Amino acid sequence: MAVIKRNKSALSTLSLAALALPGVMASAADSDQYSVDTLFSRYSESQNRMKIDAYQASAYLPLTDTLNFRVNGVKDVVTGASPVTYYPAAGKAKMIMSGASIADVRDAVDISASYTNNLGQFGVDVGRSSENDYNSSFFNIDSKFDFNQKNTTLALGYGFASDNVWAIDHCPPHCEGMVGNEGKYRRSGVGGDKQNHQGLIGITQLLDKHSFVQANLTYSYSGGYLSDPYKAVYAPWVTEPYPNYADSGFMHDTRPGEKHQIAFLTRYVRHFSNLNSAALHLDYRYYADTWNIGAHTFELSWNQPIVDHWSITPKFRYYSQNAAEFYQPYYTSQRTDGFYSSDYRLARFGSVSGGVQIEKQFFSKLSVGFAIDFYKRDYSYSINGGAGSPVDNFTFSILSANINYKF
Amino acid sequence: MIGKLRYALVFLVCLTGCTQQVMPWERGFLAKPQMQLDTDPERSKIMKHTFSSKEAATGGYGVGGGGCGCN
Repeated sequence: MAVIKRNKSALSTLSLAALALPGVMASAADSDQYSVDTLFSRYSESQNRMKIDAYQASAYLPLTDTLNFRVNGVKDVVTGASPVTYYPAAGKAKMIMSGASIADVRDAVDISASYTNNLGQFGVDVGRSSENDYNSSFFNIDSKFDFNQKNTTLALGYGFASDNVWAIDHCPPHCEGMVGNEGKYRRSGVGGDKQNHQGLIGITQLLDKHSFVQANLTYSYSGGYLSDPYKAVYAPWVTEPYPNYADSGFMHDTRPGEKHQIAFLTRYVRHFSNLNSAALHLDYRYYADTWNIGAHTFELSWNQPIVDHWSITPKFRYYSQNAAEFYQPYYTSQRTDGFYSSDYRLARFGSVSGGVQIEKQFFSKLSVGFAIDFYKRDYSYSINGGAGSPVDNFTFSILSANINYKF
Repeated sequence: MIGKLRYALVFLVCLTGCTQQVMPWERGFLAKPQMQLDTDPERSKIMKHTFSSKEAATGGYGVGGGGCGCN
């Protein structure tokens, strides 16, 4: 019996290897084996800003040869401070932070099913994410079709998300009308609903028996409340006091109610037999949206198996974007379109990041890994144009550890 | 934006023009774990989530997932 079981497993593995086409197999775990993947990560920003502990778990359940399910869960524990706005001081932008008042938990869960037949692979994914000040419900459908003797795969996908965002204040210290009723309360006048539609078309093409390339094009439309309810902008013509701040001369972050985005991603993967089966991964992504932001992302990683099922993967990433057309660190005059944002994520900047991951596999079932990643954002690293400020330069690190088990 | 989209579509059409036919029994190297597009999906998920909450650019890798109130 044990021999039959082992032979069945070996045959199954061989069949998967022979038929595998990159892009069809979402991951190495998508086989006929039940598996559980867990990951813990700690995100820490410089200047005592945000700190996030993230706990992730995923279970893969292949019910039959053609039907499988996956369940994913995430819990993020968020603490720290974040930039609220900026004001001019001696000709330079001066940052106002939120204070170390942010304390939030994000819980997210999604369930996906995938069905394969002679026509192709069809998947559906449904999920929900909730925080103190943000809820999101989403579903996605995707399909993959092989042709050209399974040398080419066409991928099509659609995703929809319906989100609701608002701002939470705490009493004390922000107790306008709240004295005697201390605790958390929802700030009035900001927040709302938004919807997002995404579409994808992609092609994965084998180049030879050592390499393949993938090209994906995604289009996304967002509509609704796209501003950040926690962000403010310096607007010296405003005479009313800004909520929760004594000073006048500030107003809410106000962005357009629509955004169209495209992203074009190309990925190249190559195998090196003479370097102990090492693999090179090269990615380039071009991004553009109707807020006039353009961005370039380059990623490179080298997966090197060593000995005795150890592997090491160094990674490098470069990113550059230009500013949104309505972004300014602070405003000195009114805009005719009425849009204002000083959110540092809409500024001109660039970033470099890199890291290393070490993985060890035991008995072909258990895999344990550890990774460290560093990220440095700098105004001067951008190859794009537009407004920005060195006051937003920061760094972060991510330490992560994973345990994966196949049954 | 539409003009740049045109270049992407031309690239997609040309993609199949410079390839060798790879037969099923020649795909052993391509099926190795390190040759998967996402060699570590869980870690890849958290890294993409982090980058998209700190940068304006998003998309390309697939459809899916909801937003977050990340600051």
